[in-house]
Amino acid sequence: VAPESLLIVIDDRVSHGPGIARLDAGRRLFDDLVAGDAAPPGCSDDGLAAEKITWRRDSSSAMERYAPSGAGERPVVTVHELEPGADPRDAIDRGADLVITADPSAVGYARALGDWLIAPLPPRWTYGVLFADAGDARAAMTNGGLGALRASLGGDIVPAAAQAAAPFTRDSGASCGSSSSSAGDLRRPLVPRVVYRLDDPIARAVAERLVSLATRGRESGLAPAPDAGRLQIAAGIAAAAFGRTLADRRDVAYVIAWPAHIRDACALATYVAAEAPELADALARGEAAAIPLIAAAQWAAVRRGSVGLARGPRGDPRLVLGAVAAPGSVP
Amino acid sequence: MSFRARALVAMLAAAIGPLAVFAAGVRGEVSDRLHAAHDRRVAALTALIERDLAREAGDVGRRLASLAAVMPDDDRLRLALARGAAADRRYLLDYAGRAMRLGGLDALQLHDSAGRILSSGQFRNDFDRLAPELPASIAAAEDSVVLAQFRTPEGQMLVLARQTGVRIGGASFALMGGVRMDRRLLERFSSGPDLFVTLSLPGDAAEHVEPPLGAARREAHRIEVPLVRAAGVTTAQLRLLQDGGELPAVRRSVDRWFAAAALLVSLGALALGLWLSARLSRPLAELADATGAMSLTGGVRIAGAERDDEIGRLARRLTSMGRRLYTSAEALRDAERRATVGEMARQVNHDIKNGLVPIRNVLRHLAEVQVRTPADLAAVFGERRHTLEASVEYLDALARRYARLAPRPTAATVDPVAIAEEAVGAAHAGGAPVRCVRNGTPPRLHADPLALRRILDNLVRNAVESLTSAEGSVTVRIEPCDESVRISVADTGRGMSDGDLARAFDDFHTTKPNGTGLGLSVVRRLASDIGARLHVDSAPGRGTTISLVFAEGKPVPTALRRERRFPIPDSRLPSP
Repeated sequence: VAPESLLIVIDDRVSHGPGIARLDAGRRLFDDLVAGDAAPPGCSDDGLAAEKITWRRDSSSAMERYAPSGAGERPVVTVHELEPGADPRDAIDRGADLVITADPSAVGYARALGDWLIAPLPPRWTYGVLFADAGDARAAMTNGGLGALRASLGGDIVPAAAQAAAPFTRDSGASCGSSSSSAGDLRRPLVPRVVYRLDDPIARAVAERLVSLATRGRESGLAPAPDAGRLQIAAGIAAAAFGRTLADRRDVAYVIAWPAHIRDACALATYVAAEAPELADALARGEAAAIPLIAAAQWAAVRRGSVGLARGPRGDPRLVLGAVAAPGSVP
Repeated sequence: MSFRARALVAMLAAAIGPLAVFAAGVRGEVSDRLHAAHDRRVAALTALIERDLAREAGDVGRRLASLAAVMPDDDRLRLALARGAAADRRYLLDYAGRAMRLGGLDALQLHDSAGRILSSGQFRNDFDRLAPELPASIAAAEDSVVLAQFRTPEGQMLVLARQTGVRIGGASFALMGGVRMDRRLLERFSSGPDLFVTLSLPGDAAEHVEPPLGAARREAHRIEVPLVRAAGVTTAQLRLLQDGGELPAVRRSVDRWFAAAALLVSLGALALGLWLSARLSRPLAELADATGAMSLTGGVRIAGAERDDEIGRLARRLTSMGRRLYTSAEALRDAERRATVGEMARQVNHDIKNGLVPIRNVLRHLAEVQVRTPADLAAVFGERRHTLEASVEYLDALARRYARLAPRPTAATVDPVAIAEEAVGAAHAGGAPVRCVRNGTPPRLHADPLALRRILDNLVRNAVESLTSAEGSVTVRIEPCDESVRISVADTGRGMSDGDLARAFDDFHTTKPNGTGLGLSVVRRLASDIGARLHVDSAPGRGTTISLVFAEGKPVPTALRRERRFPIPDSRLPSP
């Protein structure tokens, strides 16, 4: 029997992007997972999300409810987005039907319960290291070991379903068509550091691993810097100040994430330009360099019998919703 | 310096001196006692720190032992360690972090027997790094207190560390960890606001847990603790610092109180000095003023004599002395008057003799004529009658002058030649070798003729008396001189030495056996009265020339009335 309602919990702890505003996780979920099965919100047919009601159940969470606008066979869908720091395992215990999370602990917990299906979602974000000075990138990273570094980072190092990221298909520099002049000499901090966003555990894990490997030599793909001391420490910067830190371009390297569809340095420069135009220009001119390291994805943990998982036309997972329940029967 | 100032200075010195000695003593005593107390505190704090460090290290050791005891019971850990299960690798990497939080530690690392990091609580992704020196060095310290530097993503972390071993699946592992040695932990060791603990690491000053020693801080003691680093084992120093401290504060307090006391004492001394001034210095000053104003011509009465203290006694003594001085001054004034009268009598006698001598000479001449040639008596009398009349007139005028006691000079236009001829005639009548010489036409004078006659009579008589032989002569010369008249009386007598010349015009000075010493003295006074100047040219054996120089037509100046006083030497007067 198809449920009358579905509770989807999204553990999207980080709003990725260098200072970009937090995305609407619930709408993105519909776009990514549900739209293939039902009409997009706002359509006049019997699709989902004819109206959207937002309410807060407690002080640490927010909900979005999507109900069909007319009589239909699909359930009312309530999307609950976890606040940063909340434990997705609690959502599993509270009766969630679908949990989208990158927390390996929650995935392990759901797997241990036995009645949950686990499926990795397509990578949404690419994590890489952006060197303010392309020379530092060439000095610190060796092409020979870069593949191994990407592979190691894709294992158990980051708290996400990660895999090695593909190299850029197009380098920066003249190919980006940049005509702006150089911004001049870089201002270097007293302590060379790798900067990451403090609220991003994946970026933090990447940055810490880079620092750990920086002193070990070429075996890990991260060569010792010629002048020693590069990537000496990892420093977390608050989300509100991260954009300004990028714009200042005073640190050696930054661990940032960008949407997975960005596959070349020029597109990344365009993406970064919103918050750090100077750094973006440097990236476009080839004075700065970005190296993609891992592609991070979330897992979908689905309670058996509540909703089905299927593959979309391009092999991406899709939710298969059950019979339609009457509006207003949402718990 | 006045007596008042001396009194104030003395009072201030007498009051502040003992106070300064007292303050110095208090400062010294307080300093000694505080130093002793400080040393006791430092010793106690040192023992306390060492005991706390040992206890803290023991706690760390016990927590590590507890964790090590439960590790073999964790199947997933066992799978990861013993079998290298890939599915449990993430569990292994997260294990140290969970255990660290569970054990209340700030750092925890699990090493295999080769020293490779398998799991790090404070640096999760620092796994697979070889760091064999850390477990070996910490293990070598056994149960003693040891500090170790653990890596974190943000840099090095100083940890009060311990280590324990654990065996899982037949393999040996080292579990080490500890609590962060940071400012919070050091503050637990500090005692009071002035004594605190810092940690200094060898090498770079930037590794000081606390800022370096400041200017006002003093190191009281230091405790050395082994420090394990990647480069080896060195020594860290726990330093007990005294920041300013209680002693300077007490010294400042004592100084402030001393300053306040000195101020109060100074004000008291000032008030006392002012009071003493009112009681002592002011009466003394008034006494000095009264003594200075004491007059010897009036009554002597010094204020304060009615007081019954030392000031009154001094005033009475001064009054008595003043009265004696007054009496003596009166006696002196009386003697002066007597001397003045006697001088006047001698002068009158001298002047009368000057008037009588020509008369006597004329009478002797007439008597000789009567005896020798009586027929010529009438003719000779006619010739000498003028001399008699002139002498009588002179005596008459002299009598009128003395009758007025203080006669005013009678100014008139006179012919100096005529008066000189009269004086020469009078002297010549007595047989003196006197001659009168006139050069040119001297102008007439505006002067007292009697005074001029007296001057010439005295000068001529002195000149005649100075002659030593019959060949000597006296010449009275009248001549113009720069629109004035000069009358000089020159003799060829014995002259005067320099000493005699210097005193020639002094009263009662004479070189003649029967002289009065008033002739030239009278000349000096009369010349001054009629405004003439006297010039003397004399040398022993060559005679003397005394010149009288007038200004033509010069009015006769008013004679000066000199009030004779009896001056009292200043040394005999009381100081003001």
